[in-house]
Amino acid sequence: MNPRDLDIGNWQLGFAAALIVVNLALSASLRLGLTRSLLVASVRMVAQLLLVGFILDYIFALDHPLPVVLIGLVMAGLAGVAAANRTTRRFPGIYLDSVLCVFAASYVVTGAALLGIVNVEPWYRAQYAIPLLGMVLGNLLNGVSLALGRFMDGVARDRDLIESALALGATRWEAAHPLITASLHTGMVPPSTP
Amino acid sequence: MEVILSAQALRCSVEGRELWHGLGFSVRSAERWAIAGPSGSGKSLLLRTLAGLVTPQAGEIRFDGRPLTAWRLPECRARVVYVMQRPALPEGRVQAALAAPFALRVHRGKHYSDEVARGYLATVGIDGTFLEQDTDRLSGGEAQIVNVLRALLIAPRILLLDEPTAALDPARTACVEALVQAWLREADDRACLWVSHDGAQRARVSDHVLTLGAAA
Repeated sequence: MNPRDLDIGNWQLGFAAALIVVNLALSASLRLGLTRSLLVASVRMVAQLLLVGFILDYIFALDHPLPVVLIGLVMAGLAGVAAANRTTRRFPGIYLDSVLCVFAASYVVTGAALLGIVNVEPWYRAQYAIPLLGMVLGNLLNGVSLALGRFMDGVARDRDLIESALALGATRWEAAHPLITASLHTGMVPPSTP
Repeated sequence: MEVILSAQALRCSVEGRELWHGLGFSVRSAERWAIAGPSGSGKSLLLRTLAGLVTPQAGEIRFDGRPLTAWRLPECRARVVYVMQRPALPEGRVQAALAAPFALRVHRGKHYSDEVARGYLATVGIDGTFLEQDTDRLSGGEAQIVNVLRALLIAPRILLLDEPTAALDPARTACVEALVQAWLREADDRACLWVSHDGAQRARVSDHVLTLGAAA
């Protein structure tokens, strides 16, 4: 093990788990109705982290760009699907749009960070590329799902307004522009709020 | 007289039920049409199809001699204006709601004129302070007057009116009817299609009646 790497022991893991138990206790005592979903999420998280740990261990050892790019694709695809899944209203092609958008944005931003800012050598070192991509994807997932949700709710709520704009000769862009602006504002709230 | 809008062999079925098929008609300059038919006979759907808001399942619609498919839709919709039954107005003053369409690219070169708006309002006995009101304080009838006036101001060739007076009292109904007639009289290359449940109204606002769902 690299001497600069951190060693997290069982006690520390137990402490992390205790934080979830606090949440469970709060949910149960205040009857917030979150107990079940918290439990499911915790179990899922443990399983996911175990799986990710094994896969990353394997990829780190390979030291080759292809598996890093491939796992990045899988991560971006999952984030894109998850972003669309968080909205209650769907349109045909929403998953494709979401995945393409998350993929393009995350690869450009992570690529710029690896090559232009962090200057990792070689660029595909998994211990940098994958966590960076993960952070970018986390933000994207929030931004995309908030903006998309706001947009879809708005389209349903302002249906008559949008349609009357179209009926008066607006292009699709003009008719949806106020809503697109509002949706982007909503999507930008998490990163732009201090 | 010149044909402005024509439909040929239109077909429409909703959830397996055929509303109309082989539907065809021609609307010429200065003609006033009414569309009649029971609820669910697809009257709104027909107007929305004519305005290019719904794609016809079969058949062809031509505006100004060109099929709708050959038009850039905003260009066409700026001339064939569909007025919805429920007015949807932006927040703010009546004046801003009336001026808003002039900001669209398709209407560049045209300008909103308070004077023209006041002129229309004067024909139905409403004074100019109406323009200063907030759109969310308007009654249903007043909102519908704004809705119809907004369409008239961009000077379309054809107005497609979807039961604009269904929820209005007789006085406001007369206002809306008078506004549309005033707009029609201004030029002889205009026409309107008016969906109405009310036979007496159809007699007042139209010279030709298209009845849907008659065979069903």
